[in-house]
Amino acid sequence: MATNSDDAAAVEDEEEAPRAVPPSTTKSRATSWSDLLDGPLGKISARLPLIDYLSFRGVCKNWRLFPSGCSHIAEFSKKHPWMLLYDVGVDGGNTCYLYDRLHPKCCEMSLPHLRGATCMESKAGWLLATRERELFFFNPFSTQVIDLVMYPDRKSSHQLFTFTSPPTSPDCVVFGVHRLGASVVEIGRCSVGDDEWERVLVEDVRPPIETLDGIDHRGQSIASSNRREINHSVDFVSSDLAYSFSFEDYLLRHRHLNPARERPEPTFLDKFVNLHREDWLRRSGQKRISVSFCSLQMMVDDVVGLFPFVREYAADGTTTTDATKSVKAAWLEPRFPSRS
Amino acid sequence: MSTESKEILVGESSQAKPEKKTIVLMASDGDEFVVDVDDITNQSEMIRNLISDMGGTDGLQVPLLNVTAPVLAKLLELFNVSNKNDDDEEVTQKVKELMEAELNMMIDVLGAANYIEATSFFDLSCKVLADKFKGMSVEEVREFLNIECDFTEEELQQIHAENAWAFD
Repeated sequence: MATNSDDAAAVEDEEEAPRAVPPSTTKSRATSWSDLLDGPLGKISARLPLIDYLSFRGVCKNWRLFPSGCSHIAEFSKKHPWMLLYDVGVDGGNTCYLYDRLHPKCCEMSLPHLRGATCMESKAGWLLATRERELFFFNPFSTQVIDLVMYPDRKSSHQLFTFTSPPTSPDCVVFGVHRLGASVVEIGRCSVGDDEWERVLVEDVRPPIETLDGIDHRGQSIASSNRREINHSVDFVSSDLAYSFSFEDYLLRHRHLNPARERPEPTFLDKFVNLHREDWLRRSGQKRISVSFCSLQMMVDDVVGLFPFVREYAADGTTTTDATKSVKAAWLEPRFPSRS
Repeated sequence: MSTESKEILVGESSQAKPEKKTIVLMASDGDEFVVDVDDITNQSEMIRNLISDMGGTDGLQVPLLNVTAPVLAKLLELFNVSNKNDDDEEVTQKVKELMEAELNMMIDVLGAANYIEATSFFDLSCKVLADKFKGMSVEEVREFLNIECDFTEEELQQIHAENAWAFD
């Protein structure tokens, strides 16, 4: 196209007649794709998934220098989890904000798939999320979606889900734990492509389960894990008790935790919150927010994963009469899916 | 090509429905395109504002100094598809065809759409392009768009490091 002589001639004519045309007009007729006007470039880059945006930046100088909501992404550190503030209510719930522990700026992304959704578990850069009667995996870096059969409706808000490996792996197994009473728990297992969940109801659980604090599968906590073990057992935590259910013998075992050792390291969280709290409040447009963090399975400061938790943050000078807005946050392992 | 397009457009807008109001769009090379007022204001915010500023459409001629006749003809052709269809499917398909067949024309159409503030058509075209870029490597994008890699050695090293950061 650069060799097209008619085009080249037309451009020269325009440039040689500056009085006939206002200065802006010669500029606005792009002669090559690398000179894409600011308008299209911004629109196109805003529509690209993060990993494609990273490619986009490497095409040519103009494209690299173009400011975008994700310009800071390459300055993020991949050593610690990132956090995605999602379903914030900006742009109809499409706009999400990605944070790094050390970088003062966030990356703004449009992720319509997370509108109205709740993330339950995060691992290897993938999120397991639910929305109404949908259960699905979502990769916020590639925007890939992998559907999973919905868990049957259980009238219980005490539920946790986890998965063994990325849903693109044939070994991926998803576990669900529902607390249906202090001594009744249902454990489910399912793989991508299955028509239904394999479910086991365990009654008369002793000691009773007061709360469901966290979930894990054996692959993370046992160093010499074999695949069979990972895909057949799931652990969950209720205050200082760790329960373990095996799909091989259908037995629920428990052990007492050493609380000092297994609690997540607070310094990582404190640093994160201190740096970004103001921004979360500003983005949410509220003085007081209650942030629900989904759980994460990733090695962080020698601790395996973070359990789900909720925290309230308030701006300076907030009074008790100020309304609290609920905001959702998902931890993300900074691992991009490999290109196919 | 421009003359042919002009005749089609004139035929559609002024002869078939003579009672309809029209205005004249002038391409950079002086070619005139008679367009239906409703059809063009439906697409272009700039022309909508212009008509409102001028207080009417009587004898209105709009010079589009940076839009050539072939580009304007193509843009009006796509507007026509857009105006005739309630959903975006048909026009998305046409934009895709244009992208595959005449990439160079597409950037000029995109530039013209941006210039006359044809917002929804412009957004739709950008989406078509973004969808095309999804999953493409840097080299593939460069080859597809015939873009020369204009980075210095230093910048290339930086990009290389960035890619290693992202994908290794």
